[in-house]
Amino acid sequence: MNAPSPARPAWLGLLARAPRGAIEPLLAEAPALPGFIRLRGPEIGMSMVRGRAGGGGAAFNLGEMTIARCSIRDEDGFVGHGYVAGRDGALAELIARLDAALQNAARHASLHAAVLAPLAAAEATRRAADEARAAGTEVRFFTLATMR
Amino acid sequence: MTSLTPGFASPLDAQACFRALLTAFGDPGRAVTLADGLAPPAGLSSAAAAVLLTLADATTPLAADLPAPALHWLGFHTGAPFTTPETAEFCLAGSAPPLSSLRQGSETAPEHGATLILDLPDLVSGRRCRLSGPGLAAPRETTLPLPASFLADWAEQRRQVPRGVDVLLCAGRRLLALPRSLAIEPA
Repeated sequence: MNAPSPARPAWLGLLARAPRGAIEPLLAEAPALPGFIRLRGPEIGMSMVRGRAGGGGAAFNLGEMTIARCSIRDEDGFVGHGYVAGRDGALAELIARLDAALQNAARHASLHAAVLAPLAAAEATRRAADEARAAGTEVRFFTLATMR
Repeated sequence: MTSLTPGFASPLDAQACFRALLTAFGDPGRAVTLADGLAPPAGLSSAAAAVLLTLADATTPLAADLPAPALHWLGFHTGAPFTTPETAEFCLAGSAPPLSSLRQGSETAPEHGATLILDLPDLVSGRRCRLSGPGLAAPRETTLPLPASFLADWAEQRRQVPRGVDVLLCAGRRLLALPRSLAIEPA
């Protein structure tokens, strides 16, 4: 059994957050994924989301969300898991296949360059745009400071 | 690298197995045959694997004396936590432990009694027994692959109704239920 890569949570998160339809076009450019068998799913279920209001205090049950998940084993013997918000079982399966292939040192570098790097760049751009838009609505109470 | 293999191909397989379990518990002593299609890892019969995939989940502690790949497979597909036979809801074994060592439930919550799943080479060898009780219009004579010590344990357990252990005998794709309400006597 190989030790799990420390980067694995990062790439699983990146793939799960990628907008619908963003992964397939990237895969068209990437080397083909190996064949696989399904171990579990794709199946749809509910997951309880817990959180703290304002980041403080005890965690409480915020509500349930729908998730799709899938686990596969590829031809090289790597087991991959895909979890994604919503009901898209095919996307969960695709993420599971990518997860399995990314664990394989022989495939990791090319897939990282073809899929993960563009997704990470797109996510960074999206996040910067959101932050810029939010910054425009920020209120600085300088009047209160100067009137004192 | 791992040798993890698939479980049920479809949720319908679990429902078919649940239906077979209802049939088996409703007609004690009659062996039912499960559908083909499950390929469990070594050390686990198809019937025992199907029963655990159908019934066990994250809320049912499981005790099983199996090789590591089979334990990994059960853990992955059921999500059940592993524990000791004394605290397990489902106990899988190749030969019967003393029934009194398993969870018995209580007078007010007899459903907390354990289910013992015996994974056996076959269901036809063994000693002649006469079964009677709920589900059987007339006593049924059959052969059960169980030692004399089990029958003594069973008679002892019958004195503390409704507490006790339900037993499932599995071999290959066949399974046979012995609900705790059943009386088993040597024929």
